[in-house]
Amino acid sequence: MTDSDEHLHSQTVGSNPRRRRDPAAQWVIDAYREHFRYTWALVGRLGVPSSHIEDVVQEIFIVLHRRRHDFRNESSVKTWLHGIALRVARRHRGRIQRGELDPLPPDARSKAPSIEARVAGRAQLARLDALLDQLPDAQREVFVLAEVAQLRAPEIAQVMGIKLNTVYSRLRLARGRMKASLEAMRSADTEAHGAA
Amino acid sequence: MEPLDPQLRQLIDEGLPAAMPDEHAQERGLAAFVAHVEGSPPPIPPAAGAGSGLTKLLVGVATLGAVTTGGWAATRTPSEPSRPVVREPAPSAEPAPLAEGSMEETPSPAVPAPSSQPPPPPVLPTPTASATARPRNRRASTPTEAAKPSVADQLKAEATLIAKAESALDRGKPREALALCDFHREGFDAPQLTTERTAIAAMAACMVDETDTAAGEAFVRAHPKSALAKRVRQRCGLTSTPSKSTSP
Repeated sequence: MTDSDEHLHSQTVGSNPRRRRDPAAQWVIDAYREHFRYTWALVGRLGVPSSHIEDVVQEIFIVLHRRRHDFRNESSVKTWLHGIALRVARRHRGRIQRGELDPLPPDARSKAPSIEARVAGRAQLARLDALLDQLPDAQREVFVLAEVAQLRAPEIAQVMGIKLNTVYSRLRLARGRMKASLEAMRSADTEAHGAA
Repeated sequence: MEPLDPQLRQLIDEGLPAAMPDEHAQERGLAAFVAHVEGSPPPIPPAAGAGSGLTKLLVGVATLGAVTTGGWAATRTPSEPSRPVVREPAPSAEPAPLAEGSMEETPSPAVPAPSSQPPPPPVLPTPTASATARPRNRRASTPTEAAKPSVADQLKAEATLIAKAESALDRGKPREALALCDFHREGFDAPQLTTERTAIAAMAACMVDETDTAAGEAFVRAHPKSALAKRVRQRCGLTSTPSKSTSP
């Protein structure tokens, strides 16, 4: 445990900061440290609005913690985490689609997107997300797991609980759509620049 | 599998670093998560959990006190004095299932058996000095009539709790609503607002898992003319009054 972690621990635990944790709980905290940033990036690509990512990522790790005793070494923690992330993100999207959640809370609406868009990486990310938004959810999930998370097709089949052939089929369709949409986007950009 | 189109690959490679959170987000999240983990009890076998008395109540407080309503701030500790003592949600015959172990959370087909952990914790109501919510199984040494709250006080406390549960539901926090419903069920000797609680728990269960409509259907069957039935139908996507149960 680093000094900052110890400090954090003492802040949150209070009276007995050096108390030994349940090893399984420590395992989950280590997983949190290792995979938090990656999970954050992944969840955003799975269609969770940026203003909701923090809560969704937290929920993912809480599920991991709750199910920590179910984990077996048949797959890596990361693969397991993908499965949880996929399902939590899917459920969250569903709630937004049903109108149970506002995709843009007031504080998010007040942000000026143009400021973020000035940064090149942000602009690329915005393009990527715009392309992903055009995919059906099932294709989007396979594409993100394959191309962003870099999972192999059998792993995706395991995580999603679908057949291997379905993975290949969805991935092929998703790639085709993404490529076509990217070309359309670039054509539109070129025309816009030409007109200007 | 053939490689991805180079332009798409470039887009992903250049865009992904911008998707990473800032350090503050990680720090904030980790603090909240550590608080959650430290506040959660290790899984308790049913037999051991049944008679753990005050320890279990305190564990419940720790669990329920770990997270705030609006997000994941981690400033609260299990020993915070202003929180009421709550019993950890226990298995119950209540028709509203908590749906915590639904298939939605099953990480992979290879991983079996949902766990029986409690739902994520809500912000608990803070009853006034005349607090009427009290754990049913608390070992009161000499319960007297003078110590009992009046019916009006209890009803007021129940109404506050139910209103908070309903508010949690409206804010899209079904687990918080479920935990508050548990608190209501466990915290009063003879609760009056059981119909309201059952309706909220049924709606929350549907929100947690949209396929989990059993509690909603049961409520609509039991209270077909209730004003709440309409809301339960809407929230659970029940188009009409379910037919009478065919189960024995």
